[in-house]
Amino acid sequence: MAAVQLKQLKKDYDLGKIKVRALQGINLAINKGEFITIAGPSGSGKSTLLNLIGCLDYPTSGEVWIEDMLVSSLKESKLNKIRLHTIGFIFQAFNLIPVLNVYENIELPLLIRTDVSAAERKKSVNHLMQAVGLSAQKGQKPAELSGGQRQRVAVARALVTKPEIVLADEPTANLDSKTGIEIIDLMHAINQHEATTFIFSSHDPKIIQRADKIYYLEDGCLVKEHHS
Amino acid sequence: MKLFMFALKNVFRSWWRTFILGIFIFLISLLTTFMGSFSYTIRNQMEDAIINGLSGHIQIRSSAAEDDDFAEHMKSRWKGAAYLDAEQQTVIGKVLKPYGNSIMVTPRIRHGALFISDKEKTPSLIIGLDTGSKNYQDAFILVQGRMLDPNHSHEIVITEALAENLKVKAGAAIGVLSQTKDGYPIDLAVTVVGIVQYRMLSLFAFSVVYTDIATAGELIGYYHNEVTDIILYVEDKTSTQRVYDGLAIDFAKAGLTVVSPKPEHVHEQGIKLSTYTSMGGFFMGTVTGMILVFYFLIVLLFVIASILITNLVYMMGIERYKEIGTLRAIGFSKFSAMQIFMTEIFCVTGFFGLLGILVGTALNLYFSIAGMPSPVPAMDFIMGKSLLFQIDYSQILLTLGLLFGFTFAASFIPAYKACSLRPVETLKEV
Repeated sequence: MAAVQLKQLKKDYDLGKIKVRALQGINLAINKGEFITIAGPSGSGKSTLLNLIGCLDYPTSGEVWIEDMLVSSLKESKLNKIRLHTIGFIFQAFNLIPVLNVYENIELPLLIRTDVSAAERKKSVNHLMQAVGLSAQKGQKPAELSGGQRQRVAVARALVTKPEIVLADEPTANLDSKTGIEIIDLMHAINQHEATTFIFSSHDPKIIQRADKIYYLEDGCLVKEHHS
Repeated sequence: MKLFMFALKNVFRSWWRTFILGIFIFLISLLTTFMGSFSYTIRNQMEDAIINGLSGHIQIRSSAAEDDDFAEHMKSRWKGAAYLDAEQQTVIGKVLKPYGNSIMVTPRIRHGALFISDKEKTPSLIIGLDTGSKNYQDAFILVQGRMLDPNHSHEIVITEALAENLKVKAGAAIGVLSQTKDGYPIDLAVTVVGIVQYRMLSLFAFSVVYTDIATAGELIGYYHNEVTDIILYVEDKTSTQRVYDGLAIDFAKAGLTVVSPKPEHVHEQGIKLSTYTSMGGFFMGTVTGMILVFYFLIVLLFVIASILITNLVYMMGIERYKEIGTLRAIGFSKFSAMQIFMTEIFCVTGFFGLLGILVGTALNLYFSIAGMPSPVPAMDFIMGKSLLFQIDYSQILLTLGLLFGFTFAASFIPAYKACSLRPVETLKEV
C-alpha cells in the first residue's frame, strides 16, 4: 500500500500580476517504509512538494492521498489531526522552541494528544532521547546545543507521535557535511528499525546518495527516478 | 499543566514588556479595589447622613410640604410650612401599630429661630424630637455637659460651632426668639445643657439646635400636637423600599391620600411619603457624580491597558511567526496555539492584578481602622472629619472580572489573527 500518492499535482503562486507554476502535474507513489529523497536545485519545487504532502498547503489542482485518504480537499481542522497523528516534520532551521529544554521540545506534540497518558509520554520521550543520543542533554535549552544536536532533537520531536511518514525539508542544510551525514544515517537507522516512511529533500550529492530512492525535480517536474 | 508551564516560560521571554504591562495592570487593580471601597464608603456615609439628618429611612409629611422647607427654617423665616395635624397623626399611628418594633417612629418639629446670648446672636434651625432618640445621640460626640433629659423642657444641645458663635459654655442660659405659625413673636429662656461635636454627616449635626418636642412646639405655636414630620427608621436600610410600598398601601386603605413627592402634587390633601433616596437626591447626585468621575478615570486606564495588551499580543504574533508555524505543523490547532498566547497574557494579568488587589485591600483595611482624612473638607459636616472605610468584598470579584474580561477582549483578536495564518505562510518567515 502506498503511504503517499500524488496525482496530477499542480501548485501555482500568484506574485502580483505574475503567476508562477511551482509544480506542474506531479504523479508519484511512495510506499510504506521507504527512505526517499527529493533532489533538485533551489527553486525546483522541493519545499512546495513537501508542504503539500505534509498537509501544510493546498494544491491548485490534483490530488494528495495519504494512507488511502484524499487529504487535498480536507478542511483545516482535519488536516491538523493528520499532521498530529500521521506526519512528523523536520525543518532545515530545526524550529525548536527556545524557552523549552530538550525533553520539553520533544514532548511538545504529545501535549495535545488526549490519547496518550503522562506515563506513556514520559516513556516515549525518554526512549527517543536515548535513540538520538541526547539523554545527557535532557535539561538543556536549544541555545546550549550544537547544530547537530538541535537537529537530533528535531528528529526526536518528529518521531515522538509515532507517525507513518516523516518529512524533512533540507534537514542538513544548516549543518556541516559530517554532521549532516550523521543525521541522515540516524534517520535511516530509525527507518530501518521502525519502518517509518522518510521523505527528505536535499541538493547535496553526498546526502542524496544515502537514500534508497531518489526523485529528481526540475522546474516543478519530476525528471528522473533513481534506485540505489 | 505542561502547556501552562510552556506559556509561563514565554512570559519571561521579554521581561521588560511583561513588566510594563504588569505595572499597568497592578495600578488598575489597585485603583479599582481602592476606589471600590472608597466610593462604597462615601455612598454609605451619605445615605446614613441623609437618613440621620433629613428623612430617616422614610419620612411622612403633609402633602403640602415643600422639599426645601428646611432651608427656609434655617434662615429663621416662617414660610408657612405645612404640618401633620393630630387627626392625621392618629391615623398614622394606627397604621404603624402593626409594624411594632420593626419600625422606629420619631415625630419632629423643625423651625427657624434666633439664639441670643449675652454677647452674640445668631439664627439657626431648631429641631424638637423625642429626646430618647438613638439616632440623634449617635450623630454626636458630647464634649461638654450632657444630652437632653426627657424629664425636663426648655433645654437645648448645641454644636461647638454655634457655642463658639454665641460665646457660651454648657450651663449657660440664653434667649430664643421666634415667630409662631400665626405670625406672633415669641421668646423663650432656655439652658444650654450640652455642647457636641458632630460625628458624621447629619443635619442632626448641621449647627442645628436640639430640644424636646414640647419646647419646639411652643416656639412654632403648635398647641394641638401638630408636628412638622414623622420620620421612620426601618431595621435594615435595604428594606426601605419594601416597607415604603407596604405603607403606601396601608395608608391608602386607612383613608389617607398618599401623594408622591412631585411638585404638581404638593397641594393635594393627604400625606407625602418619601424615602431617603428621594429626599437626598441632590446630595446623592453630588456623590454619584464624584464617583462617576473616578470610575471614568479607571475605565480610561482599562482602555489604555487594553490597547497595550492588544499591541503586545500583536507584537508577540509577529515575533513568533515561525514558532506559530512550527506549532501548527506539528499538529496544534489554531485554538491550541492561541491558548498558549492567551495563557501568557492571563498569567501576567492574574499575577499583577492579584498583587494590586492585595495592596488595595491592605490600604482599605488600614483606612477602615485608622480612617482617612475627609477628601472634601467643605463636606466635613456631611461626611465627618475622618472617613472610616467600609470594605465591599464584592468589589474584588468585580475587579477580577473586569480585568480578565478586558484582557480576554484585548488579546483574543490579535491572538486569533496570528494563529489563523496558514502554517505554510508562517514557516516561510525566517
